[in-house]
Amino acid sequence: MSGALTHNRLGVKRLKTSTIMSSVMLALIPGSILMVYWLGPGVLMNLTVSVLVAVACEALCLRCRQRAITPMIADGSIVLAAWLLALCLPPAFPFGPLIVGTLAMCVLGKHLYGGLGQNLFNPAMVGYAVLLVSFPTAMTTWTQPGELTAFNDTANWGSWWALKWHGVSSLGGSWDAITQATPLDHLRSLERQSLIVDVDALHSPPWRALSLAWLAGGLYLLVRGIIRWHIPVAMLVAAALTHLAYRFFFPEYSLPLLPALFYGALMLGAFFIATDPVTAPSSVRSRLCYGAGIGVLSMVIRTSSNYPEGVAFAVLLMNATTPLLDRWFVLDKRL
Amino acid sequence: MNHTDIHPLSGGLALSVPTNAHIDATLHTAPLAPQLYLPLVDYSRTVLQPNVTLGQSVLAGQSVARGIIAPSSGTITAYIEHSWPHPSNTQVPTLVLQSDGQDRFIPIDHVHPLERIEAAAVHGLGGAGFSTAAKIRKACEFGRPTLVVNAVECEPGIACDDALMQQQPRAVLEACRSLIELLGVYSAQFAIEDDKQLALNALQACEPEQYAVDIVTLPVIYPSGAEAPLIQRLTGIALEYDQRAADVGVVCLNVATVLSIHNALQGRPAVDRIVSITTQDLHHSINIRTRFGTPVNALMTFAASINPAIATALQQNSSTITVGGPLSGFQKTLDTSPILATTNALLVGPADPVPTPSACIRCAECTVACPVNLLPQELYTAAVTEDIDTANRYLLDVCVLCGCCDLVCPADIPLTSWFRFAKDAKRQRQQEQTAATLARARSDNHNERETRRAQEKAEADAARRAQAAQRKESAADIKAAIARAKNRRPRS
Repeated sequence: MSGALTHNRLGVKRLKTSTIMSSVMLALIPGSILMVYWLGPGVLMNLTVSVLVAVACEALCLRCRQRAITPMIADGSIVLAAWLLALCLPPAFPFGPLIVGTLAMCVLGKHLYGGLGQNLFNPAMVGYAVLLVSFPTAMTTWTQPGELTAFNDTANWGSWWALKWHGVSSLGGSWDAITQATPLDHLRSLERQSLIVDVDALHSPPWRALSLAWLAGGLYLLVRGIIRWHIPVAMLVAAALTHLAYRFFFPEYSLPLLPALFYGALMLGAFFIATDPVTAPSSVRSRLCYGAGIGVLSMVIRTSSNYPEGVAFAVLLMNATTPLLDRWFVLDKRL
Repeated sequence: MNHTDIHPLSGGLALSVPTNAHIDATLHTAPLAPQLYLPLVDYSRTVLQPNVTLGQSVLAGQSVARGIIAPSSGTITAYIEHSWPHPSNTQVPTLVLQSDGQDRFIPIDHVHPLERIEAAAVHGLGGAGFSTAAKIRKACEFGRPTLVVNAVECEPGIACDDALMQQQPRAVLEACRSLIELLGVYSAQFAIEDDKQLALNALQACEPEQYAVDIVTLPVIYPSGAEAPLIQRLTGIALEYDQRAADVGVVCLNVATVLSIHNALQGRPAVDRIVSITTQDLHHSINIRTRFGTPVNALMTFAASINPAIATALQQNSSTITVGGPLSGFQKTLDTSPILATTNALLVGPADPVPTPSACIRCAECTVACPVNLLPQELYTAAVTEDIDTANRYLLDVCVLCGCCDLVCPADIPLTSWFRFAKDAKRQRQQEQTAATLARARSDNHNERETRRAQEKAEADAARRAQAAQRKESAADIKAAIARAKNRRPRS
């Protein structure tokens, strides 16, 4: 192409990398606010520390790799990745592991592959996976929505601060009262004991509202043309079908369909994580295939493994198939 | 045929031209330049051997190398390495023709029409500049091909076909009819985009039905004028990666080429084309009929003399121009590079600064925009690493270099330039491989010859030795016989 071209002149709508990233962050805001509201200052601390550490680490990595620092940080990609990682962590997650996870995300997940656009695996999910296998207890201990969430109470901030630095023991015996396993974990253990689950009794409104907020953000991105529908739709449809199949073949899984889709990270995963352009395939058919793969794997991991949530591992597994899917479908079409 | 019959094209872009653009559809004629430059390369960049000698006088239409004719009469004065309008910015062997100003033509009087087209050196005036005779010959293997006249000319800033249709609609239609007769088909599909209202009106006024021409108006989508997308929109057939139009029984010819064919059949060689000269902001455009081989700077001077806006643009930037349109074109220093069959447009004036590209985030906007369903981001990675094999797997050859991906890329990556580079690298590697294969074959032949010669020599030696031994033996026999005879017959 000649440098002659001013793109706007020919009437073609064009996104900029920074527009893409900032739109995704904008779409994350409602859900994040809800999360902070329901789960307390811990979420805000996670977000702040993760973003700050990630930006510093990114700058250092770029420096070491002798790349321009400012434009790469200004495009917002690392802030977005840190944000997504922080959203996946429990509010009481201690600072130490949080920093480890953020560094893993930035170095292992991104720069070892050659930086933006080169990484095979979703950096936020790499950070998440590192944390989940390294700090399994801390990663699965969530505070109950509504507990310890008062923002105007200095004592509350103090106890969060202690919690973040010294971990669970700082609260002494009162700790058990405010924590629970992830809602999905809880549901599953009830299911396994063949107890009848009264879904609405399980503090469900916060989680459902949160999923709705992610869904709303995702729809905004679809309307803006930042993401395309293929991956989220394929993922949610495949997850729903997998869930129905489980219910059909194993009567002990009695959770109805909608709660299954609206608890856990499916919505966040479908619209914000699986759609990461860098690690997703690019043709329509390969995207459908990729989304469906994540949907099926998420439900299988969630239901049949010991991990509370399957989206992260499903995304990582399907990331590994991305080059193959791309090659497969583009060549298949022509040969 | 109306819009509902048009098949959809996956990808492509709806471009909008500046609303206040002033396109001058008058056909100007550039004066004959004193020196014409004839690069001796064909469309695949194979260097051709000249079949004229220095100092030889030639007539317009006379062959100077295979597939290349002199555009005017004069004397061949030099054989030099000279720049040509190609993105590689290289120099190629070029003949310099000093024109005598008399412009005498050699008549083309071959009996067979295809031979006549070949002798007239008709090449595609649209994109790649293939030999038209070869194209028609290939399509005729099909029996009765589908004839598509390509008047789509979808890129903004290029209006040479538009001007031709507005100015000479009857000649265009007559040319279509003579091509219909030549191919033995019933009708021609004349594809034109619906924004060329003036040209459409001019053609409709000449009653195209009488010429068996079926005018198909396409809604504007860039790049419908490229062969594969056009065939897809007209017929719904998506060409396979190794197919050309002729392989599916379609002969797809640019409208100006059709007129050249008609002229060739009338005995006039293909010596000129219409070139659009447009300002970089696409606001002013003129069309000039130009002899092939005319130096670009001479043409530019002429253009500046007839259009003040172009003169101003040229003053602002007199060092570089864009050869081709704003999307598919490439930058070139303004020098004595000649106008070729494929030089459809030149853009003048200050170019916009090229933005610094950032990293590809694989957002796949390019995949969506690609009119031939490629994965430009994968091709890009392959091109940057000069990994031609991978580029081939991602169907580098299918890329039509339309520039749609550049236009939508959020990271400002000049994808098309990379693909052009990769195609070039591939061609070069193929040529090297061919040369290496040839050299190896020659060396093998040589070795074989040597071995054979040594063997033959050994055999001959052995034979000679055996003969000598035999001769010695027979000499001994004779002596013995003489001795016996002497013994038998004692002297008296």
